[in-house]
Amino acid sequence: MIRTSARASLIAFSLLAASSFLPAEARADDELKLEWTGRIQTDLRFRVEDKSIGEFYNKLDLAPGVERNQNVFNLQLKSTFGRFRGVASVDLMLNGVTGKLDGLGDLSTYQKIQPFSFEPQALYIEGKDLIIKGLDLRIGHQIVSWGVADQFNPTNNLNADDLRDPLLFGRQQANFMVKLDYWVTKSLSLSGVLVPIFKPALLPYSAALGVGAVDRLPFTDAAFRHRIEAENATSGSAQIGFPTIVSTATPIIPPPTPENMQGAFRIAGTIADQDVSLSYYNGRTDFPQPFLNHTRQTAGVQCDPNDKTRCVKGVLQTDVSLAYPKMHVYGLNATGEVNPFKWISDKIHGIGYRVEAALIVPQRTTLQLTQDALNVAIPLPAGEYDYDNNGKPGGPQPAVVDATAFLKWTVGLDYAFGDHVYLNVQWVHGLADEFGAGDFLHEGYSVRQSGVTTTDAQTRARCVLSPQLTLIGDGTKCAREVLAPKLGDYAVIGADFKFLDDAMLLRLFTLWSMSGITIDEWSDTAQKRTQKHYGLFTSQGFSAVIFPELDYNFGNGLELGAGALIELGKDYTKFGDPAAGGSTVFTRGKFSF
Amino acid sequence: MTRSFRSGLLLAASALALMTHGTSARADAPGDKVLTAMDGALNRAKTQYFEYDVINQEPGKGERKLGLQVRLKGDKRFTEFTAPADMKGTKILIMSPTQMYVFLPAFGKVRRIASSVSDQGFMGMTFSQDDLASQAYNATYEAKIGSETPTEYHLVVTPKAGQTTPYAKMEITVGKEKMLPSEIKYFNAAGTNVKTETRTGYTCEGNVCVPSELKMVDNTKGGASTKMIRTKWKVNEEMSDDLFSKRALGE
Repeated sequence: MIRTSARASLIAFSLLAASSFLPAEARADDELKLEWTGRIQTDLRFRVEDKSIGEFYNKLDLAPGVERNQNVFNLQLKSTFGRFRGVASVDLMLNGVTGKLDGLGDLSTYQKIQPFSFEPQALYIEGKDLIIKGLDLRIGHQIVSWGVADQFNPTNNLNADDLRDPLLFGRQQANFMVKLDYWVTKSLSLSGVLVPIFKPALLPYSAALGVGAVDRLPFTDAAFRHRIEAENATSGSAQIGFPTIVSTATPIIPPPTPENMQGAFRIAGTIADQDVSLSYYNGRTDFPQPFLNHTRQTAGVQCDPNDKTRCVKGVLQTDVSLAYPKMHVYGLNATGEVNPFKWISDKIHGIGYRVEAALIVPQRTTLQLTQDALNVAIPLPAGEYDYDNNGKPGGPQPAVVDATAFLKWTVGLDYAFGDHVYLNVQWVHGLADEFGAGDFLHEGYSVRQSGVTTTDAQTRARCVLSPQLTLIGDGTKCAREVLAPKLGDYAVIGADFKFLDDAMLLRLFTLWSMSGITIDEWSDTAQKRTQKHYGLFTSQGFSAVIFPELDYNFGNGLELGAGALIELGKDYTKFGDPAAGGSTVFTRGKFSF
Repeated sequence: MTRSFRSGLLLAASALALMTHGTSARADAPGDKVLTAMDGALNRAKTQYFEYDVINQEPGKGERKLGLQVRLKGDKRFTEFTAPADMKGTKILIMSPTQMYVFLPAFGKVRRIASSVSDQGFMGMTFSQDDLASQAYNATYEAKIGSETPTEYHLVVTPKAGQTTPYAKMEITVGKEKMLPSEIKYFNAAGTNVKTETRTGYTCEGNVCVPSELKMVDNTKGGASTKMIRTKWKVNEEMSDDLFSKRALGE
């Protein structure tokens, strides 16, 4: 890590040093300017519903109550001297929600009772017109925002996402970068960015519930999934009593070697009043994918506290290792305004439009399955899973991400109606956490829920074990899946309403999952697997977020607000998912100075 | 989107409104000649730089303050907000009425803004965007001299046939010495004096004169007012075109 970042720094500082030998263009009126700004912000949120996932032996729960009581003190310093500038910004965050205490000693530890953290948000230096006119350099901990869409930016991959706060969707975390821009003209620029160290996305606190969803198998091959689903159902059946759980999920960060550095280029300009850019990014997705599952058997009877007749003899504990697949991203952005209704009246203004599209070429990623010696339906030796069911361990490992290229895009329109109303509409194809081919252009699904439609005995006999006690390895006639496209389609519809001389703002933003879900299962009647689709306007497929907020700006830096983030849909849907955190109501206040 | 994003849109709207209209029409009557002369006096500078303290005052409420820096060159305008703190660092670039951008420091991002935001109000100011934009009148209005004193013309200004204007009538007091307005009364279609603007403390650099204070009283809101107090002004200084680019915004 030290070596890599040192190398990047050397490059950057060499450029700065080189610029210092050039004829100085210091102006007589150049002087050192220091500018301090700050913000104190307080958030209080309540979760209004219980969200849980898993069975009694692996249940994870988000209870109603105070979801967040966060107080932030931000301080920012900008120091400018002519063409050069340094920026530092830090957050001191105090979280009022006390975590789990490990012992009496924690009662003597302030950090345990009043958890706080210190987060640098920016720490960089920059210079303009270095070496040659039009050449700008920025080095340090920074955010580089590319992409013209609002909040949903598939071409913006240089910084990892910061999804800890769902109210700040689209926020990213700063990272060390070297950014070089060359302005060929005042409207045409070339940019290059080097990111020496990869950073993963910061996930919402509720994401930990994701490990409870062991039925959401990540394999792209449906037949392989069906087989695993049937085998999991059998091992977890009442007779055998060893269900599978995820014990640990460990992200493995790529080592800081030169080949793991990320880079991006962009050319941006204005053509006929429309802003257009093309970009290329070579790096990694910041959302993890599993690449190694290791399973071990742990005995120990556990019974459901609410139903003592439901017991398991133990569990198959799976340790999951997660990686961040490489990808190439080719981006196109265009924004401007169009006015198709001008012929009706001169009073109709242009409608703002935004198009942001990314062609993503992912690295194929497979998942290796290994195990200790297991003794469930039949004894299984320690080693690798028999993927091709040829009686020998190993074989071609199943993919969790295919190498198939896929498209993500956001297309948006916005318009202000008179003094008081602003409307913003977007079609988002593929959210930030969705990765891999699978949409109406190329079939591919993610499993939102799975199981079997058959009884324990039927599952065992049809799909898992032959009468000779050999593995059948075919779950076709047993498995049932609730599927969603790997890349969903979402409608974002938002409106702002202003009152009281602009001091009061009522905002209503909504996010609708347009893809719905598909139930895929075996039909004894048709003697084949069948699929039935449930769209947005069905109880099975409905999923949406409704985000109303009321803010009052008192002027002179003080702002208070309250609202709700309402997540709707069944647990297997995108927004009804317990890992999404559940519905909350919130109040927040901010004073800037 | 956050509140600051929204505010950015409003600021952009305001900045768009602040753009000057440089067109002029041929005068063919005494009132129109005075109006044309006033337009000329309002639009003599090649470049201008202003700093303003803006004070909004609603009856029974405290003052709300804004700070603005404005650069003008031809049809291009670059505005930066210096206060309040939650708006500080927000910058707006107007390249043309259909090409404008806002830089929001909270996002660190330059965003293209559609011209429809010019319909939006702005931070509770009693100046509407059209009020701020109107620096040239004779393209859309015709004028008659209602009365005259040794030092002032009192113009009655109404829309030209076929023109859509924000007001049904204006009464403009024009000082004869500088041919610049000292008071503008705005009337709606019902003939009610809805707003009154005063421009005072004119100072000049060469033949370019601007008021040191503008005040707009909204008679429909119990006398709510906005004062724009000029704290700094530079005229016809060299301004590079680079100042009016997305690069200058912070991209």
